[in-house]
Amino acid sequence: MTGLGLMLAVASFPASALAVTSVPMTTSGGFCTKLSADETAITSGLDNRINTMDKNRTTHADNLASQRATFDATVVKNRAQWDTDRQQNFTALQKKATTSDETAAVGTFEQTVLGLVQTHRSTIDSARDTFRSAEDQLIAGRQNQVNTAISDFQSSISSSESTAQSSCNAGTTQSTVRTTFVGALKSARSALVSALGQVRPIASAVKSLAATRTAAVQAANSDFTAAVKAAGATLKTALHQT
Amino acid sequence: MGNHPLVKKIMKDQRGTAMVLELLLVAVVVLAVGAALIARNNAASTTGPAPQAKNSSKLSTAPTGSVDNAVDAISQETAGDQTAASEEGAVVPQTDLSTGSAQNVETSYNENNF
Repeated sequence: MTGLGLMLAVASFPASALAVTSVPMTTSGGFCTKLSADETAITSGLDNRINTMDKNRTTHADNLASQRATFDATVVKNRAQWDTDRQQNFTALQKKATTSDETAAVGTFEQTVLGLVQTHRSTIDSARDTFRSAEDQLIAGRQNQVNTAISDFQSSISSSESTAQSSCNAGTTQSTVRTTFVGALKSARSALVSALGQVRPIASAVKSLAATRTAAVQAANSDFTAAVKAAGATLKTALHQT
Repeated sequence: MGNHPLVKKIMKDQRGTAMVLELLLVAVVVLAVGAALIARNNAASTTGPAPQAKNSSKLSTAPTGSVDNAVDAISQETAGDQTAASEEGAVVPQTDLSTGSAQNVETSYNENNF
């Protein structure tokens, strides 16, 4: 072929052929061949991140349990000390009683106070349990929402992979299969991000629960203090300490 | 010449002056040492260890047998439970969203690599 002939041949080459060769062969050319390996890589990446999330959840749960145990231990320790202190007051009052009536009055006061302490502590324990139960529900609810979003994400990926595999088996052009597959993966990712964005934070709800519990504790405290003072007033009269 | 009355008077005056000066010097030294000791004590009191927190559940006063005293002491029991209760919930528990664990799932793959 002469130089002129070569130039004419190039000039007459179809433009559509040039367009086809502009698609990177390394990307779509072997797409169907390496689809299985790509699926394995996707599954592996997903598993790794979900495992990390699960480990973090376990760590968070352990931290929360540890904090609660610390609060519980503090309450138990303080209550034991208050029991000791209260008994010292009872003993001092008993020494002031010089008649059988006065002794009986001190005994009544003691039983009344012990009953009030029992009620007070039960009320506070109940408020704390209610708070913790609701807090656990908030955490679990949020985790369920996240789990659903991730499960949907996995289903979308799996569906995309099946569709791509079927298309490859049907002889569809690999670049077409790849374009569809990549688009489906992008949609799945977008749907996941959107779903996670709709999961509400629990911070304000936890604080609201804490406020409710604090109000219950304060009410119990007021009731306890008022009842102890009333019992004390009765005892003062009996012991002539007015 | 040393027995001259005028010379004797001058020597006597010099010894008296010297004694006064010695006494003043001793007084200055004593005052300086005292001031240094006071300054050191003041410094020690401001850099000493912080006071230890009292156990809130311990009786502040010994039981006297007074009903008012007993009622006041028993009423203080409420403070401890309220403190323990209010501490819990002040820190919101971490979640997989607050730590980014869930969001990381979206980076499982890069579709542009396929």
